[in-house]
Amino acid sequence: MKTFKQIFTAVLLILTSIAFFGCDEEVYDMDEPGNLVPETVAEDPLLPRIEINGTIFHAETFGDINNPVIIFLHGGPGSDYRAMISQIGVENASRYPDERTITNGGLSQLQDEYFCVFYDQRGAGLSPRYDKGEVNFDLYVEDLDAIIDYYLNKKSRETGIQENQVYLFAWSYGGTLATGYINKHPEKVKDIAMYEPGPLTKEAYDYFIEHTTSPLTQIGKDWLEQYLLSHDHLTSDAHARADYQMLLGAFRSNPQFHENINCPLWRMGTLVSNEDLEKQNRDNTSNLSAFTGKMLFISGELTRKEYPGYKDIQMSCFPESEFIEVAGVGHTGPWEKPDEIATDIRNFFEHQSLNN
Amino acid sequence: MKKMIILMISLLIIGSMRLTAQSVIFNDNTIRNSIYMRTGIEPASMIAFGYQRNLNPKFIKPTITTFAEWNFSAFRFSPKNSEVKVGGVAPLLQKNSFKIVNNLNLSAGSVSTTHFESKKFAVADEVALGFYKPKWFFALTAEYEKIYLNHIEHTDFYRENYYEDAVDGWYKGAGGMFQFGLETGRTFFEKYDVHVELKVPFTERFNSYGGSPAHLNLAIGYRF
Repeated sequence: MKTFKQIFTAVLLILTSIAFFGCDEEVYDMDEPGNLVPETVAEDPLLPRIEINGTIFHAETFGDINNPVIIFLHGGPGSDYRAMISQIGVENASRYPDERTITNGGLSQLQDEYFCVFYDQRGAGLSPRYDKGEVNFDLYVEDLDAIIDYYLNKKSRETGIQENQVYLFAWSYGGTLATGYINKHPEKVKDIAMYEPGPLTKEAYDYFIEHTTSPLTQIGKDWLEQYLLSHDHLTSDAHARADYQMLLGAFRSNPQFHENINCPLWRMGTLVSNEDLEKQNRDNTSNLSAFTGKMLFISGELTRKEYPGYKDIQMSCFPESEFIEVAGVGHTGPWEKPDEIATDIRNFFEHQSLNN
Repeated sequence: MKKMIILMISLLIIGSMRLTAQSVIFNDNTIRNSIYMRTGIEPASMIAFGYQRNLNPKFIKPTITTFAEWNFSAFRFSPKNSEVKVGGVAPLLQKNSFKIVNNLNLSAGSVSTTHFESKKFAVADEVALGFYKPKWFFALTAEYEKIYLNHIEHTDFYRENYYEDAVDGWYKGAGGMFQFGLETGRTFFEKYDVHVELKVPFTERFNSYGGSPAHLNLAIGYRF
């Protein structure tokens, strides 16, 4: 009887409380874009974009279209180009160009001599989301080809300058994508500069895995505990939740990369990052001998020390390559030392042009 | 919104008064109380401290074991990374030593990360089918947990580095999870319980849970 009285009292308490207090606070939906993570170009009309190859890409350009074109390829897969137009010590680039206080940050400083094209790859960053199984490496190569054609045609239309080649700058996974592209379209790239490209071959992939610590060995690390604990609070069944949760590991999950955790991005396209786009492309080098340009391999000093044999394996894929090391940085070097890396890129491309 | 908070708090109050427990003391009518400590991965490394009490309400025939536990992240040991859980365990069906046992529980948790702080409220129900002997038990388990409500506040770090317009406030739609596994336990010297469980988690849409591939727990208890 005593127990029954306790239940009755508690129910009465609930009913009285509900009747007494009003409901005046909004309850948001985690899966609605714009609450936890930013909207993509599919939802936000204010974001810069281009429509190519049957989809919309978050993209923008910097500089005079009369100048040679550089296409910038971000890493991930799934990340975005924010870190390439931002730099340490200054405000991170807003996703709205009109709201930026700095318009030539990061590697976009190359706009004084080049027409710089930045885009978020399909399903990544502020480009629209795609579901599992809807993107693959070949589609990424097709997208890049369509983007290159789009800007070369635009240049031809607007300036009368006929060009059929572009420069590429690729960071991390962008290097894997760029190499796959050159392997298929060697005639469309003048030269390429890469910052610590992802594995270009099976051999490079195996070397990379062999020298990389498994996250399972990091039990007890603060980032991993945060990531795991977050699973008690939200599950990753929907895009926005998955993107939000995945970010907890960004720039932290691999201590051997020596990444600066303050390196910015807009959105991690988690479903794209889980597509294993790198493994699908372990051999994309069989036609690189047809590439007449040159490859510049840029590495951070700290990363190079962790993976001492990596650069040689990677550079040997290209007929001609050069190496430059940036002191005191790891995998987020382009955000930490953009002035130095921009100078390296500029010198390399100019030197190659003079030689040709 | 306040209604929902009050509802949750009230449900927790009810739960703490009325509901259940974690191990098998419902199987022993000779004792009333147990304290236990649980440690393992669920989904992060955790340590929990709990109390259970057998109740024999006159209007319900079987013994109901109520429990309340407070679990903490083992590596981020703080109330900010903890969870309070209250619930009850009761046999739904029994034939000799075979039993189907239900564990209904409510939880309120908190997590603090470099990106956000979240408070969550969830309800879970576990059904165990197994053999329960006086000194040991073995059961297969299936559990569903639904996260009903979160309160999320974003950090300056998150706003500066990722999304400056992130919305703070109450959220619905955090999802839920299934866990399937097995558990076993044994009683030593009539007072000491050892309890092990292994569970494989999935999201409520049966996608990969994304964290630990399996949850493993070891508990020790003392009956009094």
